[in-house]
Amino acid sequence: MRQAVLALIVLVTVASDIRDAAAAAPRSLAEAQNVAQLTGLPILAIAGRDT
Amino acid sequence: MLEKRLVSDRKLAPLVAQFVPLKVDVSSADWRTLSSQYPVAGNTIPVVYVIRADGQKIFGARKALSGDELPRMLRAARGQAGGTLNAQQQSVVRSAVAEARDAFNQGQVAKTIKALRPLAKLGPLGQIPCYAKAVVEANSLAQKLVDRGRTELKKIQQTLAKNKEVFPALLALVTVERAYRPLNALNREIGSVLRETSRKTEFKPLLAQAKAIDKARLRATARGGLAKAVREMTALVILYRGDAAEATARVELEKLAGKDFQVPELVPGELRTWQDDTGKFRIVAKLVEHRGSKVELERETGDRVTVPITRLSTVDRALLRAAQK
Repeated sequence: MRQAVLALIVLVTVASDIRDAAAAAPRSLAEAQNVAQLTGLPILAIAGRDT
Repeated sequence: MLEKRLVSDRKLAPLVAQFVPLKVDVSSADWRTLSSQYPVAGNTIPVVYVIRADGQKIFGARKALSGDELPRMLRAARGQAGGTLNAQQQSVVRSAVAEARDAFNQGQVAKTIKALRPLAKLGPLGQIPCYAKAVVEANSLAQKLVDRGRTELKKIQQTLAKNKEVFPALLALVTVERAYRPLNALNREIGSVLRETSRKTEFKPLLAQAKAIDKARLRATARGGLAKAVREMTALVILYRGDAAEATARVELEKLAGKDFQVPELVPGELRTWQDDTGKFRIVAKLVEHRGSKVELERETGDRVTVPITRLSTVDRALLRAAQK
């Protein structure tokens, strides 16, 4: 029972992290550059085809 | 596939959080910008890029980076990407750089360095390992200061080598040492010139006088310190009378107190006002005798008083010392 509760907490945390990351992700190169210049974080860009 | 892995792989989440993630469609204008600015040979997709905050490309490849390849690349890229700033640090850096930029444009070295000093927490000034725009500008300003300081130091060394205008050069050396001390890159160079200079017997007493003038000059920059600075500089003019340092001390005194300021004199047998540094203790009298740590003064009425020298003002003590020379 205790393990199941812990697993649920981990799942919820991960899901919320992913949701936050998706919500915070910049939508354009200019926006990403702006965040990078402010924070010093590098940009990880994946170029592909929108499906 | 790769994009999905970045979003859903739990093990990758802490690593991915150290990047600004960006999805770019190859038919978009962003892709045209990226591919022309950071060309990667070939024509397959996906194309993975890691771009440092200052725009430098760290990684670029046309492959899906399967298995361990992706976390390995992310860790390696993170190692080359420099430190990051939290919201509070961003605000501290932004305002420090704005202040430093203004001071630098006005040619105020000490003020520029003072403005940059809070950033020393992030790393050595001029070499802070972070590529955020404000930090890059802070590093560049600090580097310009190092260059300026190096030029000043070289000029001082040349003047001292010629053995001309020695005192102004020594004062400039002391000033440079004080102003540029927080810049590690320059601190060692200045320290070695100072050590070399103070080893020369003929420069040693002059260097001590230069330090005293610089100290008095510095007092004026503290709040309410002008009066004290004037008193100390006046004392130095009196004490250095006849030395090379006198002319410099007079120029500095004029800057602090104005052209009309009169340096007091101690004329034997003449009445003058003796006072302490606060100005609360005052006595109009002439000097009768100077005995060890005390001085005997005589009022106009003929009454005599003995005053401990330590109670007298900096200027009065300087007059007594100069009279003993």
